Amino acid sequence: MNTFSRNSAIFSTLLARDLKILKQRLLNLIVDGLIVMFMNVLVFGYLLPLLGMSTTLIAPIFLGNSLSFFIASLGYNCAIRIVYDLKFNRFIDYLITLPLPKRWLFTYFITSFIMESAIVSLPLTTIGILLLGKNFGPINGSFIMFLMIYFLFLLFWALFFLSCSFTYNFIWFRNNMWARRLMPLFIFGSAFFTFKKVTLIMPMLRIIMLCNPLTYFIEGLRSSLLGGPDYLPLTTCFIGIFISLFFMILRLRSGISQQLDPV
Amino acid sequence: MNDEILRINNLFKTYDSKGRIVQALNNVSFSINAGEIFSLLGVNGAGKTTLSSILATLHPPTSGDILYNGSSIYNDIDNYRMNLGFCPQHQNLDQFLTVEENLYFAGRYFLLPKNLLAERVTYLLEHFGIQKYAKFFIRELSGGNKQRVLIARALIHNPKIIIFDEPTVGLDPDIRRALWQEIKSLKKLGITIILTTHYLDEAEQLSDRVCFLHKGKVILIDSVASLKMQRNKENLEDIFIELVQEQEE
Repeated sequence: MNTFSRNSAIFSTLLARDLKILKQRLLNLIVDGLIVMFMNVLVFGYLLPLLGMSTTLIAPIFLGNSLSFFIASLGYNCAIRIVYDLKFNRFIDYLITLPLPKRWLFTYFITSFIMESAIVSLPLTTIGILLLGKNFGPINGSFIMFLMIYFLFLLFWALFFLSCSFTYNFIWFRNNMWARRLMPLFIFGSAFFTFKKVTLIMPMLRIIMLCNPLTYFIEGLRSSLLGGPDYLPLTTCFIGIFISLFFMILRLRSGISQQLDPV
Repeated sequence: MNDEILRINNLFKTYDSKGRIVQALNNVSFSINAGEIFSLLGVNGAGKTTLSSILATLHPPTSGDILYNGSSIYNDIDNYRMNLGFCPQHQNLDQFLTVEENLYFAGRYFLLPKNLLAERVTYLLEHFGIQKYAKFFIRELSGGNKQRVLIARALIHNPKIIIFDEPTVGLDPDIRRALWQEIKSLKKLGITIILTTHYLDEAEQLSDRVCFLHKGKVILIDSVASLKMQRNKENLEDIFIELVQEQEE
């Protein structure tokens, strides 16, 4: 067996282990996801429009807020398991001593994260869009482009949460992660409003939002699926996305080396 | 019996602890023979766990080398890992799997063929007397049984070397004694054992040779019998206390 085949065999065994564990948790995850999705559809798709919110905002807010928040929650749950393991169980030490190069091992962590998030979030996103029905509005973009950005978004969250898991300790992560990292990312990442509309009424937000990686992913999701001139152009989004991913990879490498110091 | 399996050459390890540079290992060199039980002893902070985690390839040394059968482990680390089993101080089993699944997946990580793997899992479950817990999740086990699963997991791929880092910490005396028997039985199978322990009675009972570490340096390496004779002491604990006092002076 050559090195590549050997590494691939161990890599796929690790993923098989994760799928087995996911199978045990899947029903709970789907039920939780359905509740969150129903609530979001009810509030953003029906209640807020009845209270005066423009119906043209339903789809962008669903993609920016409901979907992104949902994926971030899944990511947070994955990350807290890693932070907990680092603090208490240290199963990760066993994984480090497997006959698998560390690049493959950390690619496995990222792949596992993306796999779990995609298995849970893709069907629920589709259900959410179907439940919104006509209220979602016209889809003038490309599904393929949307899926591409969707997976890049999952990759971003995987890198983000993994790097945070290796950077912050368990107590800090549990107590401060939402307030100090995730909320500012969402609020200034155009999750609750579209970039162009909010910077028209508050231009000072422009720089802050453009420095926020989430802006490019969320606007990219909107632009790719909904189309039209209301969102950042896809080219700008892709440039922002790849720069963000590059910095996240650097941050993850630094976190791994500080926290684990692996061979 | 005296074939050298591992050689540690001029190993240094420094790390940054809250802005303070700590010299955990300072020019450590020695060799370990195939089939022996070699114990690392020392007070807290002597560098035992640092050394065992470097030997287990958890962390790299700052400088120096480790030779496995004459070749640097860092030239083909995966081959070295295929021949190594590690029982860390933390019982770091897979909490989301049952005992049987822990062993089964461990075997697959080390690429055991499926037919051989089933046999091996059955053998280890029986050998360690944990077959009745095969379908139990790890959280449902007692500390002693967790330790047995940990050793079984480390043995699944028939390693040539096993590193035990404080294997009996926190266990009841009867379970400690039972684990000593397990470790002795591994030696009979020809497995080389590196044991890190705080318990000097344990080291005395099990070791062919002991290595005293103090502030990251090797103070002496010898067999227990030879040490007792040279120092005219009845047990390893008295020798240990004398050595520590000598170092402090």
